[in-house]
Amino acid sequence: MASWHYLRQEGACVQEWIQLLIDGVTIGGVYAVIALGYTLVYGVLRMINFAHGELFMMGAFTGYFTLTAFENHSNFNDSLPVLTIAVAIVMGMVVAVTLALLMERIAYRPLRNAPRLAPLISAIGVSILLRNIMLRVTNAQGKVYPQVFPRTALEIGEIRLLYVQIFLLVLSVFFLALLYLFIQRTKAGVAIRAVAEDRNTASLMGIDVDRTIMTTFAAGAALAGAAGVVYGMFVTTATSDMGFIPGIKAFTAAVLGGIGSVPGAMAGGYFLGITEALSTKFFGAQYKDVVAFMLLVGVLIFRPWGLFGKRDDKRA
Amino acid sequence: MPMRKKTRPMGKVMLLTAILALLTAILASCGGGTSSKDKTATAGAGGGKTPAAGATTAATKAATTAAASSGGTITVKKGDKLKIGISTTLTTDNAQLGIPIRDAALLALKTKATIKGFTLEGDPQDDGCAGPASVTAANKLISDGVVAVLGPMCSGGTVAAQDPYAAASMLVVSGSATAVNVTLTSKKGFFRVAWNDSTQGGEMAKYVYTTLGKKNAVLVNDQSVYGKGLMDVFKASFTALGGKVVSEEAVTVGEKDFGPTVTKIKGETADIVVFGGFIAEGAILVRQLSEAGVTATFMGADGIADQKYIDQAGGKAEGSYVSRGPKPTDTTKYDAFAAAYKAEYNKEAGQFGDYATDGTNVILAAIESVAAVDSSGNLVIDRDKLIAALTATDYSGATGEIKFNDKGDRIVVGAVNEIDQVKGGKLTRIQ
Repeated sequence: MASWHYLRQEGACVQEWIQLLIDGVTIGGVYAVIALGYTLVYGVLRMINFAHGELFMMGAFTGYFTLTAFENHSNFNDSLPVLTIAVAIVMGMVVAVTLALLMERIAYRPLRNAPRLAPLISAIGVSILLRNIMLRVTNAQGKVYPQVFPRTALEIGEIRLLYVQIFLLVLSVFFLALLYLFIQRTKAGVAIRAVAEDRNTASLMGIDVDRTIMTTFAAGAALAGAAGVVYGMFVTTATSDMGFIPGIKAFTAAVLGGIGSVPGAMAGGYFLGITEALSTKFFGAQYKDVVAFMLLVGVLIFRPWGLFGKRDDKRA
Repeated sequence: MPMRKKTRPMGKVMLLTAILALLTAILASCGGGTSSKDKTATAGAGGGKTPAAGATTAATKAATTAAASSGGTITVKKGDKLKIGISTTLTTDNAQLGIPIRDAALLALKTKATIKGFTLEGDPQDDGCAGPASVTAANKLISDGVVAVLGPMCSGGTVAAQDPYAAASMLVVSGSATAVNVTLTSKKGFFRVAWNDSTQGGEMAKYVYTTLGKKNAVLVNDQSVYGKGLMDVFKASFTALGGKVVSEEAVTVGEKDFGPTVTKIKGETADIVVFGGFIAEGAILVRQLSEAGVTATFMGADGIADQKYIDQAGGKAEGSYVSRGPKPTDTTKYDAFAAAYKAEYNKEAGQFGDYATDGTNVILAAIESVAAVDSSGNLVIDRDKLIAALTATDYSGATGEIKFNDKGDRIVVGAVNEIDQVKGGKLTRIQ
């Protein structure tokens, strides 16, 4: 086949494209995992939790503090890296879930029947608070992860993949699958879907709405916390503002996929990541956000409910 | 929302078309062998052209008008403190550069202690390293009644804050705003002890081309006034020498994964990657380039000249070069400052600490020469005379000889552009 011959001739270039796609899928997976938190909370509460990106950041810091503690007080990082990484991820999830439950109880629940803008402002407040607490705690110094995960790479021709990147890739897919099963197959998942459908009716059917909302927050936070730890290991640094850009991007991904839709958030995340990587190649990284947001606008013009969202004639 | 039944099938057709278009574009860019690289290089270069100069021209008129009018006087009442404003970045990642600036300035004030019996006091304000926040800081300092201001820290913030300061006839000395467009037009009362990037960018290009012998460069900037400006000067000087800029890239401040940009650089045939930006992005970039197997040499400038750059790069900064701007050939005064700073705060002074202390000291010297105590014991300072006193500065400090030209830029006297290389995890001066 002529095209195959052509591809072989252009092997190096095609490999560059594959590398770009992998780069895109890597960051896209992170966006997807964070986007789920936005979409789940929006599903049940019709509010955007703008502090969600900060849970990701807190996860990254928890991972840093856990691994550094292991580094300083034991040799487990060298002898049992699997254990320390697992502990770090679990700790990241625990801290993020705790914070999410606290913010739900303190900042959002009292405003549940307030006008829709109030919890939004409250969320922005929580986001600024968390970011500045960490700025204070770290004295504005970026923290560097101890090297637990070996930074060696898998090489196929010109394509080079750090093993930690593969770990990040696989883990994000794993978490996405896990959450999907949770929503579809468990009783708590059914409750979340019921509350998302109609909170009052769900309550009349005997579903504990407060509890379900807390479960939703916890599920989204657990994913963000875990993603924070693994992303922190991948980029090796944690800074107080690291949740901001991924947070905004994940929110975009959630809207792109159709806010409130779980498969939509996943697809939106990967779509956005790949778009960014490809537009870096075509137009330069300074224009990747322009391209991504133009795409968002384009999608919203033709499908205001997003790629996977349900059209909602009542509310529109 | 009205129902539109045909939207769904149309959506699918559009999606298919989009995917097809994307695939065609990918294959098209791979066709034609090497020429594809040239195409991308030009696309990058064209995209990068955003002359920052335009922004300042509109503001020029306001400043000229302000310069014509008299600045008036400032009176510090008997028993009050003589306040010096410090506009620097105290939040976000850039605080790691900004806090040492504040601390060095406060140390200089503490060392000097009083002027004509009036106790000196610092008034630090967070300028956010950006336009709006720096203007807010400027207005706060003006209303606080400070005599003069050290700062703002970043070039973008300085350009924005110059007008409110000029309108108030405030004496402003920045120790870290290095971008070319900061002094493109003369602003009343503005001086900088930091070196203009046109000095550093030209020296860097000369070093890369002549000393290192690298002829093909990829330039990466962080889209800040500083980073972009430095790379523009570098490009002009490097091209004039005969070097070739194969591609110009950009990274976004605050992002932590530059995978696609790194992949793109890997596809270029460059022997050096030059970065204009700050520590956080510089450290990530050098690490990811090395991990992706890019063998080209890495070079950054004073924005990353700090031990934190090496620490955050996790061992991957080894062998990279860092330009630190012109440094005095005689370092006695710098060493004295560094020792005093270390004794006070028990840490290193950072990249701009010495500039902050010199900036503060030239301000204090000027105040001392024009301030007069009146009959009722108040300290009276004429703002225009204060600015004139600074113009006449001839001071020898930690950063070398300080003399200003009519635009407020430093004149190079007894200095050479310092180049460091990372050796054994430390910045080691090699020029």
